[in-house]
Amino acid sequence: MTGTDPRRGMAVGDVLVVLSLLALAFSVAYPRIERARLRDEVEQAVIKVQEAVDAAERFRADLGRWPEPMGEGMTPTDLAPYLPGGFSFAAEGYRLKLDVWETAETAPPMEVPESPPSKESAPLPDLTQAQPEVRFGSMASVSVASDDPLLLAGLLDHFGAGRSFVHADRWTMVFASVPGR
Amino acid sequence: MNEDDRDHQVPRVSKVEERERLLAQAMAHAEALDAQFRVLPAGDPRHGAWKSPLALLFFLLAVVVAVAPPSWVAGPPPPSIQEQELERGLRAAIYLQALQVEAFRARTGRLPEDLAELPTPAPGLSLVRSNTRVFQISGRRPGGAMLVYDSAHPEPEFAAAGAAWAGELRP
Repeated sequence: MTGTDPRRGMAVGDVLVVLSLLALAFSVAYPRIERARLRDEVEQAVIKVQEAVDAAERFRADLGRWPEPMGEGMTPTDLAPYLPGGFSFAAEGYRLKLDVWETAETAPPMEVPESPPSKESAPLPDLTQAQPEVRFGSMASVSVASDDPLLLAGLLDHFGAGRSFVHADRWTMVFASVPGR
Repeated sequence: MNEDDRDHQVPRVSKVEERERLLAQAMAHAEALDAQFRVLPAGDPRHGAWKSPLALLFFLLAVVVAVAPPSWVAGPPPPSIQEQELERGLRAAIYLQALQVEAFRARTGRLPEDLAELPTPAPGLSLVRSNTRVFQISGRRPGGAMLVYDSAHPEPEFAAAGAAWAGELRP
């Protein structure tokens, strides 16, 4: 009986117009909201990476070694005093990891000075001297693991492709390379 | 019911005829009201008839913008990882692992059984040992083809991928 009431029909029409306008406004605003969310997420991750790198470098400057790496998303315990309060390697949507890589450099073999053979106390040549000398160095890297490729791409875009790269589900930046001595 | 209604003394209707008459009056009144709103006066345009098509138009526009947003809505595309960048990342990861394998060999005098033996194995890579010194590390390219690092004859592209951070280090 009231379904054909023209006043009621107008009310439904009003609601439909308002709802469709809201849908249109949302569809226009959504990409901007997503971009802002992504930008904010990348900025937060960049800040975290920089804080972790700064802390690791201060740690090494103080103690002469790198902090002991922990698992993905786990804050290295010995690094904690160097990190800002409340800093966590596990964040919403991504996980940080600090890695220390040992490197081995092969130095050219030491040249044994040639001297005329003497009759007395001619020592046997030390063959180990002829072996190439291995010097151990280290590299430190920070990585961010995430299922969001846009976050990884944002980090790569921010830090550049020179020192960082993306492999599998993680972005990695080698921030220090200490040659062997 | 207002104050006046409560004060007014309504005479009780006790007769059946009276009740039927009042009921018939009420029903007639209701039917008259119903008829008034059911039938529009001739020539009177129905109000709000344009709103449903307008709502449909807005809705369709919203769907189009949501599914295929125009550039002024979508804005500049977010940074994405190109295929060549993924390949460079794979080369860098392999090169980093090769450095680790060399360090492992220099430290222990042998090659690792597999990459899991290294302190930090990279995901998606595998190690094959040819002999006590020579090894290969392989990973799958974005297109699916394998990329192989051979420690006996390493391609210069691997070192180039890690040149910025590896400096003078060479496996």
